[in-house]
Amino acid sequence: MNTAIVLSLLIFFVVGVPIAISIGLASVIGIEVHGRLPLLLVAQRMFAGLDSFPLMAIPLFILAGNLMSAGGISYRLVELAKSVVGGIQGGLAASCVLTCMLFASVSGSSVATTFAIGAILIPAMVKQGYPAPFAASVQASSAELGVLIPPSIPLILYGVSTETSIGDLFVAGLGPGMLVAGSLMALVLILCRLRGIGKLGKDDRPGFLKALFSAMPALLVPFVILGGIYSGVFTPTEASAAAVVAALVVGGVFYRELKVQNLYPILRSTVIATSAIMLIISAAALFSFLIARSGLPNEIASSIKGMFESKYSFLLAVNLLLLVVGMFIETAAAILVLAPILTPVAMSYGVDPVHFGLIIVVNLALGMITPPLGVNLFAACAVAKLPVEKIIPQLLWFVLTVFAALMIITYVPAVSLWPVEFINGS
Amino acid sequence: MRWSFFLFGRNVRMKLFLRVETAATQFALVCAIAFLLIAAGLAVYQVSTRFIFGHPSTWTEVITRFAMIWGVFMGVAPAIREGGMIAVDLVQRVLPRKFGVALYLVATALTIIFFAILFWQGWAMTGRVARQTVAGLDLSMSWAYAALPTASVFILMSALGSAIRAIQHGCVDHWEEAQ
Repeated sequence: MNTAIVLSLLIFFVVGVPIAISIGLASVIGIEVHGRLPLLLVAQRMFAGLDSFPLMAIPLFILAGNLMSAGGISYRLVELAKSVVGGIQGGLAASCVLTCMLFASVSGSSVATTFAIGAILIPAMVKQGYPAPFAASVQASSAELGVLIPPSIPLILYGVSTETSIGDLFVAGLGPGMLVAGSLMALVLILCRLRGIGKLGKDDRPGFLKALFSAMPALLVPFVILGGIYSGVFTPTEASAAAVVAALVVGGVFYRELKVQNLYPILRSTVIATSAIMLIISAAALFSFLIARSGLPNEIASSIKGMFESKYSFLLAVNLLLLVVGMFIETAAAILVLAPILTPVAMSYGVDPVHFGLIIVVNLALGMITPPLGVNLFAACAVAKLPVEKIIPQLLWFVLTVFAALMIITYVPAVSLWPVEFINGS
Repeated sequence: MRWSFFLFGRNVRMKLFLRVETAATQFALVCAIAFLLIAAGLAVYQVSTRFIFGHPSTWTEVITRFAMIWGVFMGVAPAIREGGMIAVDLVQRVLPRKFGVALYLVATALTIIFFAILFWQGWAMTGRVARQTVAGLDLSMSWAYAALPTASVFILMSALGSAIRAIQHGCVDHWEEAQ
């Protein structure tokens, strides 16, 4: 049954069948090959996969992110970031990293971050003499902060599929998020210094207090979301509902850029993005059920335990596996299928499930900027109007930097776990 | 007597189908938005009851989940029409146009097969749970499960419509926009 599933899955992917439907069809084939399972499972498991209240956070965070981008938040966050780091050589590129970090705290997706921030900053960077491939690389790699800094859709999926506290995962995401942001900012500044780019536009720096004042309502939103989750007032799902209300208030009342006629296009793109990702979740629930029944997870677990003696070599192997998986497979599908298999094994090696979740998500986020299937890469290239192959030489440095950060996150658990201990301890 | 059997000529029927499909997919989109708004509204309501009355209302959680499921499945038809489904369509794009479209048609045919199965099994499941009621509410589970067969009908139409348009144009509509 397993060979039939895996083989058909690969064929469907190559043909270009949508991922959710590939997973569903491969499961149907698995059921038929098995022979003793009822086909009724298709409907039953796909329904059960979505029948969970924590998942409601996903459409709500997508909606909140879309409302925020339309409500004038992106522009003000860019101005704030420029006022902080705009004055130095390469300042605009560094502002891009910083803006993505701020925007990530209201958005749970990195593609959304690429479009919202890239649409403003890529043309601005090109105008100030940054090479377009460099600008696109900065944007593509910074946008992955969208899934590291909470709220984060991949962390919700990991939490739901492994029964790990989503609140703890969100808190833990802050450490790796800041580490990746810091490394990217350092890389951008060094590259600009070495290549002599980004000298223009230093006088384009807005005053800090003015920019902060203007961005204040926008910054209140992450404050409400994260503060609410960290203090234990909100569950992540409740926080997502609060985020929608806050986004409406900020965009509609404070900035007045969110108009009634904007709502239909926002809702429409929210619905389409929601259905696309949630259908994957639904189909993956069916797939995971079959895989679990076949006993494959236990086989994999025992063969892994035979192969790796220590936690360190196990984590290295997991990272390499995920790197390859991340290059070819979409993040949500990869998490939903692999996390339930790998997490129990990791826990038997003494790895904390929260820490392991961050390793998986940072690693798969790296897959978002690596070809052939790098969603951020495609999004940034679409915004910069560049063919993908043009930006690959520039991108290499960014990939290496994030990889180095990933190694630190993997082997220094405190990066992810210290924030959790700090919050829970106080 | 041929025309009376088919009612209209082939092209007219095709046009009629595409028009019906466009309207149906638009209807599915509006339904999906409505369900999502209901789910979002109830989630907000539930949060506020917890803060105002100290205990969350229990019936809202169930209805929120069901509205979300309806919204997700109804949104698939418009997502297929607009190329919003997440797919690895790299091979389709790099092949010469004719083969790329052929591959797209194969992928769409597989999509149609899958949702035909989901319609069939979703229908069976909807009948099977008719007597089960949702915990705490006097509501048959069929109302929730009916999302699967109902949405499958819209998805089948939208996938078929996308395939017809791809044949007519010799190209997939959303490929151009992404370039």
